[in-house]
Amino acid sequence: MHMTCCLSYYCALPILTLAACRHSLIVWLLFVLYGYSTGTLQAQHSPVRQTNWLDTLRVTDRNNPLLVVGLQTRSTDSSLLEHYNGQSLAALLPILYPLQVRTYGNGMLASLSVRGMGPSHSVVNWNGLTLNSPMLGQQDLSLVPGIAYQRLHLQPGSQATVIGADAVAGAVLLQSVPSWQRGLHGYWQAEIGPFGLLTTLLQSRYTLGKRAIWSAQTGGQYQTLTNNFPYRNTAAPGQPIARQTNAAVAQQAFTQSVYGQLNSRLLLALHGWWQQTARFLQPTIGVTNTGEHQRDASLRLTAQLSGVNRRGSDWFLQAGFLQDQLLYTNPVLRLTEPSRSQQVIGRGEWVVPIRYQERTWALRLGADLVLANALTSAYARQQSQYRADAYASLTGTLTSKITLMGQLRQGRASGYAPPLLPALGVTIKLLENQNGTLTGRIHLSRTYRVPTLNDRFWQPGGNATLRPETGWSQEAGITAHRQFTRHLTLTGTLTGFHTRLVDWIQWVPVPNAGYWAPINLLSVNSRGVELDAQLLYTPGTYTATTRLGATYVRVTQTGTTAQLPYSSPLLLTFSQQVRHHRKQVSIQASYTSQQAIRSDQSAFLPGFLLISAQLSYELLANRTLHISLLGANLTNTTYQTLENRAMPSINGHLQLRYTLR
Amino acid sequence: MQYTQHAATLCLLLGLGACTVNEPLRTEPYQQGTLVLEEGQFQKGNASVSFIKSTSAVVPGIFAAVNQRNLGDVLQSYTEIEGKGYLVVNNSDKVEVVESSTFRAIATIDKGIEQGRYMVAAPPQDGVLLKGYVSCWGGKTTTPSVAIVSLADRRVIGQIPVGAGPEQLLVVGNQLFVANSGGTELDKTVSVINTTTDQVVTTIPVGDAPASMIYDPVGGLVHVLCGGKPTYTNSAGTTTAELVRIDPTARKVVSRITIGGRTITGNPTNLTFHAASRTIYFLFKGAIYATKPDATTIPVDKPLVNRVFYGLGVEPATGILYGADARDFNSRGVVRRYQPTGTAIDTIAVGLIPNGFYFK
Repeated sequence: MHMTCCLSYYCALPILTLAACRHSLIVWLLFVLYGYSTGTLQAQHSPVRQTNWLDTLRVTDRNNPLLVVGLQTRSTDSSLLEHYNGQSLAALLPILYPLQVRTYGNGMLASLSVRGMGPSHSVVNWNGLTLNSPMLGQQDLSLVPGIAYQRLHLQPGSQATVIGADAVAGAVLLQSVPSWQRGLHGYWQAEIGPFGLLTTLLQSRYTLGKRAIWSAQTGGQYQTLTNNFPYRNTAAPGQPIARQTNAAVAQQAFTQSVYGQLNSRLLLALHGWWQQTARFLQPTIGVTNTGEHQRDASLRLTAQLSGVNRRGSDWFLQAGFLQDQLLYTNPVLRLTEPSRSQQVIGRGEWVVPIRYQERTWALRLGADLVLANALTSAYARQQSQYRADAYASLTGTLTSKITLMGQLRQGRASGYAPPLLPALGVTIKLLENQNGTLTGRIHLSRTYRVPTLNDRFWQPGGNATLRPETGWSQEAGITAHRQFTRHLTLTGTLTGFHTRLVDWIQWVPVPNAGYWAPINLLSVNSRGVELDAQLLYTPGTYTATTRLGATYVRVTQTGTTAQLPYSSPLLLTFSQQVRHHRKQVSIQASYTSQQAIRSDQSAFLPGFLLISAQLSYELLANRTLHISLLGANLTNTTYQTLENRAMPSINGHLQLRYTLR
Repeated sequence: MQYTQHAATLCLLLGLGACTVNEPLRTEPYQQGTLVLEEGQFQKGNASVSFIKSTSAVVPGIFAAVNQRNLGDVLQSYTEIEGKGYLVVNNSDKVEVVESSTFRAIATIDKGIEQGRYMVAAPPQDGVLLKGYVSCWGGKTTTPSVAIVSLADRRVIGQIPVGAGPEQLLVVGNQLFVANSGGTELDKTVSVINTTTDQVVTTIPVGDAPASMIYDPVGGLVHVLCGGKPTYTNSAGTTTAELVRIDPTARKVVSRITIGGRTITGNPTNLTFHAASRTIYFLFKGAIYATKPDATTIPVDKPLVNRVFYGLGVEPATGILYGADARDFNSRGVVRRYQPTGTAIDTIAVGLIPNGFYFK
């Protein structure tokens, strides 16, 4: 079956030779064999007590409590992540959170929209590195597989002072997590589904040394997808059901992390992520299939060294390298367009505890430098830019109920003189008793985004005189945590937000010129409310988790009331997860309301409800073998997130996972 | 009426497709008026057609409304031949054939049509219109060519290779003139095809990127607007645009006039002719300009209408100018009408990215 899928897939891929097909089979077999071989090893279960080891996440995670006072962080349940780790962020994020992912088709270019803002207004950050391309200003979410991270957080709101300028509307944080459990452990997983889906992934962790001071983690994923799902061809006579063509995807990813406790006060973390994706580009409904295809390859490397000195201050150094390559081919136009970007990142941070009137404040001082270069045929020559930032934050408790954070970030960028970016965050415990807490929070931040390299240098159209986007973001929220009984806990957060962005950059047609160019067009306001509620019920051997998310957002140009195109005013997510012994059932529902697709509201994409579910069962009592059934689009909804881009109908995956504990 | 419906139902039930009944007198909704061709957004599959009967009666999206489906991606042009409308849908690689008065789809011509641009009818043979020509940039299976369409069979019956990026077509006598713009590259020729033999007779060198043409029967010349090097092939941005006049009998260039009299920034487009007043119009850098077929200079310092348009039309009966304003290319367009003097008449809201007109 596997071989059939693979062969049929590659037969549909004229660009790949038979040799490549053989190669892919070998890769697949290697994964399978490696999975079996690790499964036959004896696991060693002997957790090591770690003393004084530093949690590398404490310093690399932009979710650090010292940094995000006044902001909300939404964390993803790790067991849910495990089951959906065969999916890309493009498929996963809209299931989990009330945000929008605009996608050109299943597995195609997918961009993130948080709080109704554009794809360049949010960032995807992996182990401290912002992945957004310096050329396009965004990260394709279809190219972020589950193997690349173990923790996923969503942080809506301005992260300009936390992560850096450009994080105007929010950030998705991806983290690799060390495990200091001695011995070899990990899992091998295979997933098979309709439309030629075949995924296998492997993750193994191993800890070396008697004192377990070195830990490593290796991950690999191989996925093929024929993507020949049925869809309604609305441009053909009679609107027949047709099979999607020219949408096959093949992806290989490999990750490696190494953690070393060099001494009791020094931790080294190294992360690498290589990935290659070959995609045919799904044509729009009614558009001729020209056989366009694209190959993306990325290499991400980072080294982090963190330490703590005897006085209690800690420090952190990071170096990073990002390389993204893209090769677009249009056989009809006989066009082959390569493009490449590279970024070198350096960062240093120092956190000093300050004692003041019996309270400890944390002063964080940091600086980072990003050197980027990019080359594509649409640029006259290789373009480069630097971004250098210095930042400081002070966080502490003003009283036993008030936590205060002040931040300043001052950047320099080639061609631009960014303003000083201040931020102020406050959390106030309004109520606290043995049954729960009620906490209020406020966050105010200045925002800034420099034009991308494409905005500046793309020929024709690139505008080197563009002004950066500037603005202010403010939000206030209230979080209630209530423990009704020993088995029933409710946490709910309600947030109101307002971001105003001036000089919004938009590409518009140049009169009688036949091409588009970016201009500083709009002043945009994004206002709305968000709800995030979670109910945890643990009666006996059952664990039931219910989560509800909602975003209502109005994104308008100043002086008008019309919602910007492709911004759904209302987004809802609901999930219910129940675990009992060896069984787990979960269901997720997401609703995206009707959205305008023209600036004058003259056309709309209809709202849609998507339901997915997952049923998992441990075949062996020692939790080593899981079988899961995952269903997506269970109501068989016909929906689109971009006009006339077909999306898959109802489908189900069978997943088998062998865990080595 | 009831009897008619019952008879029709009975015929359908019996499978008698050829059965005729006494139909009530039908009104033909799109018999007379102006079609606004709306190309829609590239790669969004949202091309459409609006129908202007009068300023107070605009019918949007007539193809989709009649046929219950989308038209396709990038409607480039429309022509009518013997009661049939031919919609050249560029990026869908097809020509949709409709009954011109009702817009009911009759057929789709797709085999042999790749990146179609414009369509014209060949001169009648023995008084009968037998074939049409469609300029095509080419694609997976064809090179730049003129596709020969059998009007009876509604299929492509041949291809005539021409220069790169063929745009507008013009029939004069038994000759077909093809403006070879270069498409994504650069060409500077006009192909001349004998419509009897369907062979290229000659290829005439003209200016850079010829795309639109008109024929002035009084002067007996074909006028070719060569817009100059497009920006994407011309990093300096300046170019020479020309109006090249061709004697169709001798198949020779008889004169060349540099638009503006010097090198310019930008490309003039959309050469349009009002035969009754012998006035030539074109678009250049956010304005409509007017000139005469026998003008010896074409200045671009005094526009007739100072406004950006994406398409241009002139109503044959009245000489009224129709400017297609695509606005921000992401909202409904507007048709702005002007007297031949340039005085504004009115504005009419239409569909997404209007690029041309057809006057019925």
